[in-house]
Amino acid sequence: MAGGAAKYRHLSRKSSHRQALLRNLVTSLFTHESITTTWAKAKEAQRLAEKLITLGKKNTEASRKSALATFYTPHSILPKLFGPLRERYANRPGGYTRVLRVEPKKDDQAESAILELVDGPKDMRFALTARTIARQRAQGFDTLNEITALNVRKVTRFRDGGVEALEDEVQNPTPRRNNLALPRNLQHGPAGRQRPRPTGWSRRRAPERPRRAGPQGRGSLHLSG
Amino acid sequence: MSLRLFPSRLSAQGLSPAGSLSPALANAAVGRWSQFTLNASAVSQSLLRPAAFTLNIPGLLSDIWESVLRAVPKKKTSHMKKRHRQMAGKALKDVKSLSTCSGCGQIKRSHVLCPNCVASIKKQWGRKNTE
Repeated sequence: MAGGAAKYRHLSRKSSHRQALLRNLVTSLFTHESITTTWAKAKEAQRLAEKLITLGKKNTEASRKSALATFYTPHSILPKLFGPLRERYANRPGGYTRVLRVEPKKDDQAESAILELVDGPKDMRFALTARTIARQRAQGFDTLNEITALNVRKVTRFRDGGVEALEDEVQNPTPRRNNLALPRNLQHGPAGRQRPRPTGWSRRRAPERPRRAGPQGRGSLHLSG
Repeated sequence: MSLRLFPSRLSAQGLSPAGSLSPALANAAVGRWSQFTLNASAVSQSLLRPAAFTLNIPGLLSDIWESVLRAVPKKKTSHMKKRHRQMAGKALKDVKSLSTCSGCGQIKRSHVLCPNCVASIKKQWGRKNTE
């Protein structure tokens, strides 16, 4: 490109079009907490989203105005940005958003990605890590491998009550999956099938509780986080 | 096809076009510029009558005719040939970087989230929202 290396992706659009696209993406991101788009668009929208959260954390009149000028539906988003999101990220020094690669969604096989707000209700890495830990425990392993340990650290580090929240996610989504998405659970293999499923959830949970509080379950999390 | 027809028609007309061609070729041998400055027909009548020239040049022309001028594709390249040529080296590549999903145990691409887990987690979120 003339004038040296490009500092940002042009996304095959002229300036105004690109600006509108990014505003749209960012508006959707703050509305829904997580969006799926092409990887390049996600990376560009990530820049803008991080800057907007910084504006939220500054919380001045000027920052309010520039945030107002960015969103397409500012009146539904601004209270969220300057309220819960500001509090959620108060201690986090940057890195409020995350881009995760997923299998291509568009029919041109363009690289797709999930762009999400970290530590939100739609934190995909949090959910996946919880799933991994749950599977490990179902198979009887008590230690986590390096990557899972790193993910546990990423997911719990700045979250309010991070370890407890993760532990809760590990324990809780399983009954729902059992009830609602049975075939998915059967894919886990014999270990998943041997578990006594329908005989009273509270009874099944009782023997697991001491294990959760015990040195094994806790120890693995502390070791990592 | 027109390229091939053009010289063959010339040869079919026999000596008379060869006679009119020969002075031009002879001129080229004598001097390149004279061809443009002088009237070709006048030169041919006055100077280049000798039989040796008119006999030699068709021979030379026929040599070129066999080797160079005839170097034209005999057939149109078929669709298949053309597509094979143009698609050479552009075949799909095998996906070799695979790993096992730690969440469900199925095979997935490395550095890409497992589509099964992502789909089921999204389903779960949808249920949570509707609840």
